[in-house]
Amino acid sequence: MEEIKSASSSLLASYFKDTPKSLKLIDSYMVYVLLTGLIQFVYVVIAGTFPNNAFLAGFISTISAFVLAANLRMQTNPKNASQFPTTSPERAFADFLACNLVVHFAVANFLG
Amino acid sequence: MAKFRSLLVLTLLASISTVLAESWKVSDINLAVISRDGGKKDERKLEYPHAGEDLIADSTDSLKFTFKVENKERPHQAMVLFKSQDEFKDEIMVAASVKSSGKGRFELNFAKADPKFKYGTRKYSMAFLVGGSKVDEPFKYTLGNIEIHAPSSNSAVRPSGVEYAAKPEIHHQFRPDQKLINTVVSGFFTVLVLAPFTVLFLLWSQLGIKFEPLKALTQKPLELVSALVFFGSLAGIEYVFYSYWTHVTLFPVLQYLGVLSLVAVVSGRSVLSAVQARRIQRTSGSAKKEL
Repeated sequence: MEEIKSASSSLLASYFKDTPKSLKLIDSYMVYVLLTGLIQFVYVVIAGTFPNNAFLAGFISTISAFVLAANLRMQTNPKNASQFPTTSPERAFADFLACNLVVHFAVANFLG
Repeated sequence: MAKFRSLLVLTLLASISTVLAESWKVSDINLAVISRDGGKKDERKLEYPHAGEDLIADSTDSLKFTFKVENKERPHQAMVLFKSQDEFKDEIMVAASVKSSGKGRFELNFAKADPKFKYGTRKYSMAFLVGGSKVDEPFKYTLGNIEIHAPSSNSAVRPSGVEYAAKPEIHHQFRPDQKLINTVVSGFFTVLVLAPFTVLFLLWSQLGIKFEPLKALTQKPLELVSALVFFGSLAGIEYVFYSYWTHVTLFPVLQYLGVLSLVAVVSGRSVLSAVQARRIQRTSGSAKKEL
């Protein structure tokens, strides 16, 4: 138990110390998206899926936003730079925006 | 014009052919009541279109019906329709067989025939019907009436009520709307779903991000303009999505999207390449980036 505590505390400490601010920015965005998705899911458990398309659109939009943010984080992480030699962070951000727009179009289509 | 004329000729020909259409010619129509031992009790020789006098038959008698179709065409259906002359108006169809010579007949034994004949003493009207596919006009001949006496023993009682009555009308029903949850609950969750925004801004404010590029932008108005255009086009695209959800149809939406995405691509290229240039200029060793 102690070991887990110390391991997690050292993990947190190194996260706060070593992670670039841009990645923390993405991380907090991902936390936000995760919370939104969880609340929607709780609502569906309580209220049922009656406007089924609305629930699916909302939940899918959070999932895809989370996935896209994760991709952005992977591509902009300096430690992964060797794996994405042709993808600059700006390029990754542009991809992120374009993909988000496509997802939002699909979601708007699905909201009905 | 020529087309119209040929159409006219065709319709004329069609109307002439209906005028000249064959009608059924039936002769030698005979009705006879035969008693159980084979003796002829009564007989009617009928001439279209005159109806014969009423016949009377016992429940054990049989009715013999003969006729001859004079047409070359053989009828597909030849039958006698018995209709009870009481309040029930029961209908009984009895089919006659027609040979290739044109002679047709049936012999109806009331004891073995349709049980409707045994519902007490009743009077029936008889109508002779002949029809076929090649002759347009069917043949209908009211033969007259026949009274059939109830069986002396075990006379059946007609079940009350009508056999062929209109069923109650079916009203189309749409599926009722599913019940929505209380607006208080859904409103509460609407607020709750928006609540993570505060978490997001709280976390972002904790990061202590400095907006260095903003200062740099104010010194270069061209970049500022392109950045504003870029974010404006993104916001415009999202607004188009919103209006697509609420009221606008697909095809105008696609037009707006085409224009706005072109603007977004062009301005985004210039903005992001400016950002990249600043990053490369600023970072030679450190891996720090801004977005």
